Amino acid sequence: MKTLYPGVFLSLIVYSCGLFESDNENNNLDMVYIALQGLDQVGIVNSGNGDLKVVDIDYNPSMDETPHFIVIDEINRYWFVTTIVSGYVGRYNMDTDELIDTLFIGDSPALMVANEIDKKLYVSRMMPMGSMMTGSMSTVVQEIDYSDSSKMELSNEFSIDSPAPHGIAINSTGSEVFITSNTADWIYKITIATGEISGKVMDASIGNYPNNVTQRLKPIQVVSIEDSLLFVACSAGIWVNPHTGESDSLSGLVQLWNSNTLTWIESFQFSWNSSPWHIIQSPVNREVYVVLSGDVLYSGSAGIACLTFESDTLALKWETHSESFETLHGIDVTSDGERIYVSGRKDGNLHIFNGGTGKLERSISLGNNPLAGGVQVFSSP
Amino acid sequence: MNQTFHILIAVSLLCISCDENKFIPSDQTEYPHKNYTLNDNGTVKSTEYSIDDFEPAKDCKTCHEDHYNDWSNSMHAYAMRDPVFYSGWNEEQLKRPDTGERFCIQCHNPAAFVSGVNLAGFETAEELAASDYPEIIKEGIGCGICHSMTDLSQTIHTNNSIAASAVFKMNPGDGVFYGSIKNPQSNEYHESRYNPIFSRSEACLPCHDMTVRGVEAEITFSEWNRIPGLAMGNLLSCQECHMPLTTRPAATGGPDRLVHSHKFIGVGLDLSIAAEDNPQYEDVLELLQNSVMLEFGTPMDTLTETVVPGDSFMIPLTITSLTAHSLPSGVSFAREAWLEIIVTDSTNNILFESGTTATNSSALDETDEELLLFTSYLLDENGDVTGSVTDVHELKNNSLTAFGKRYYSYTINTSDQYFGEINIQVRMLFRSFKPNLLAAHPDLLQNISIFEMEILTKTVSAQL
Repeated sequence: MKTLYPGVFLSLIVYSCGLFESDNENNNLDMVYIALQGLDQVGIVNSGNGDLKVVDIDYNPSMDETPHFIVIDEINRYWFVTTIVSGYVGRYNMDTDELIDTLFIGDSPALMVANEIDKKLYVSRMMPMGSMMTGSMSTVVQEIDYSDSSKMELSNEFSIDSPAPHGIAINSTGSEVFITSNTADWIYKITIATGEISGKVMDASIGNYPNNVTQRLKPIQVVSIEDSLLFVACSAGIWVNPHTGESDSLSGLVQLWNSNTLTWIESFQFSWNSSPWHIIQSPVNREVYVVLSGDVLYSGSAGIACLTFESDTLALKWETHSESFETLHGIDVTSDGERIYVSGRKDGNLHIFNGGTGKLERSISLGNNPLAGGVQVFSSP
Repeated sequence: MNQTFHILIAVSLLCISCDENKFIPSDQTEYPHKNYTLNDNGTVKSTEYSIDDFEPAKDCKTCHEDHYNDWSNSMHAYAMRDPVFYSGWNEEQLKRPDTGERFCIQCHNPAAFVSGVNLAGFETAEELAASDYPEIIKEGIGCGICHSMTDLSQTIHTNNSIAASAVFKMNPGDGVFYGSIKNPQSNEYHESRYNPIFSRSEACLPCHDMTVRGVEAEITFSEWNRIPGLAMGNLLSCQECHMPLTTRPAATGGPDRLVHSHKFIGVGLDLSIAAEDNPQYEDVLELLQNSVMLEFGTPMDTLTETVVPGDSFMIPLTITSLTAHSLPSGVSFAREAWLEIIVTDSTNNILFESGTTATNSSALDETDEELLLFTSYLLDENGDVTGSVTDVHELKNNSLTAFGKRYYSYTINTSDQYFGEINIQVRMLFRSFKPNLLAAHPDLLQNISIFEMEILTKTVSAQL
């Protein structure tokens, strides 16, 4: 009997240390890639053993890199990263995380989508701000050919009629790329084969010309779903009417569009200080998950929301907020839809949510003020 | 007893090991900081900081002379020398004896704040300078404040009691100085350690973002942070404009590097000296001249080339902010930017004017309905305009938003008797103090400058 208690204690300790956690409890092994903008690194969290491996990003030794967004090509086993400040796209071997090559494209590259069949990347731009961000006045979306296993090449450019082509999505066949202008509130469809570009104004209340900077809705990210729908997360917030000088608080929102006809269907509104940023689709349900980056002056405004369109109408399924969230930024979901990973730009954590309920399961420190950005997750089968 | 004890131990171990943050990266430096707690009046209740932990700036001068010289003319060095500060601080202590001293000190003298050194009783900078207080207190915001900072802070949210609540995360006193240089050279005087937070806009917190009673009173950081294109990637950070990079040694005898200016150029100047003698005047002017763009025309209207005598014509203008925060920002209620327009005929007779002032210290005519003025107004609990941020209950904000535009048109009437040139001159002007706020300081008022941010001229012809 005397030996029973120490045995029980040891079992409890070992169990509580997670040494017996299995893939069954964790379902799948997740490799989570996070752009650590402030550290010029990409962090890779292994959910199986808890390791955080970092890959240094150092393409131009004379300046900061600011790695912003990551995209994974699971078929060809690559991951790619954009560096906003130094202007590169870097390609890495997904199995070894070794750098394969880099391509300087300049002009503040931001988000990417990949056509894994044709081995093409499409790269959007960070938002230009007056003349203050040198080289960031472009209206161009670049196409990068990475079919050569050792060298990427710029293969095409598509110029839209609006500045700040930031949000970007691709359809399932890679034949269409969708772009949103962050500063002019326009949405575009690019037909890759023909180069044809069509656009629509997103802000019907203004109806501005495509090159007219309004900075009202501020669309951040767009996702293409079922080759017929587009979901656009719009940051919105405080807006001052340039004609009168009067200010207004615009609700953060998600717009739903028909991607075939490029027509607006409906919008779902959050609070004015919600600041929806990145958005992804659920791999298993007719749902999207949107990051609410929040406003640092309003504690608890940051969070994550799940919108369902099961009945072809946008509805809130759940919404999770916490005062510990500060400026949430990137988001991705596991292939089984079980876990959602969200980066906290200001709080420095990788937050893990239950994909079904939105409940925060765990927060992982990403180091000293990493300025966490884009998140991509690869779930091993 | 034994059984219960063992179970308690086991449960405790279980709880400890359930720490959510178990994935701490092993190859990243840890940055310690000291702690303090405040009571309800914003006074230190307990602290790990000692005023002796902080090194005075003059100790840095030997090896960092360029940086010291930059700083010594800056508004950071002026924080405890500014007569306007002493007026406001003493007024606040009279109004709120329990909280007034600490509220202002939390940002004007962080070393005294975190170490709990009470500075009540000093009515002028001269009195403080003559005291036997440590140099670090007399110098306000010196080198040792920022370069002992190890972690980022938050916005100051001030409640109705106007108690100080700033959170600083610093680690002074152990011989380590932190900065933005990734590969600092070793030296015998102190250890130098890279900390990535020095490139972040949040490094200017807690002091450059403050709400009072929920009013967004001084929120320069948040104005920047509300622009997704900047906040997402720390782009156009505070440091890029207010601490621009220059090539020079970081320390005497060291290699040339890209180092930050420590002039902290903003829009404020030491008004105890004449503008032309102020070593920061040209830098402030240059910053302001790069802050805004003026153009004739709006998306709806263009400026006519000719006008029929007797008809009226419009002067449409577009004002574009090139600034990553509002203009004016910070103590925007004390500052003003405005359009001055003067329209004259060929013999310099004034046909129209708005925004003109007789002297640099003359008040603007705010009854002029044509005046386009960018500023803000603090409203007290009665809805009256006040100059004291601690009395604010509401803010009326007419600032030009970050990277925002403003379209504005003037309508000019012409005489049917006049044929010839009509000359238009439009200037965007800036003043760091509204003159009425310096009424108690005539010696400072005489040194106030009006900066010309941008000028446009155009001649149109009055003809049939």
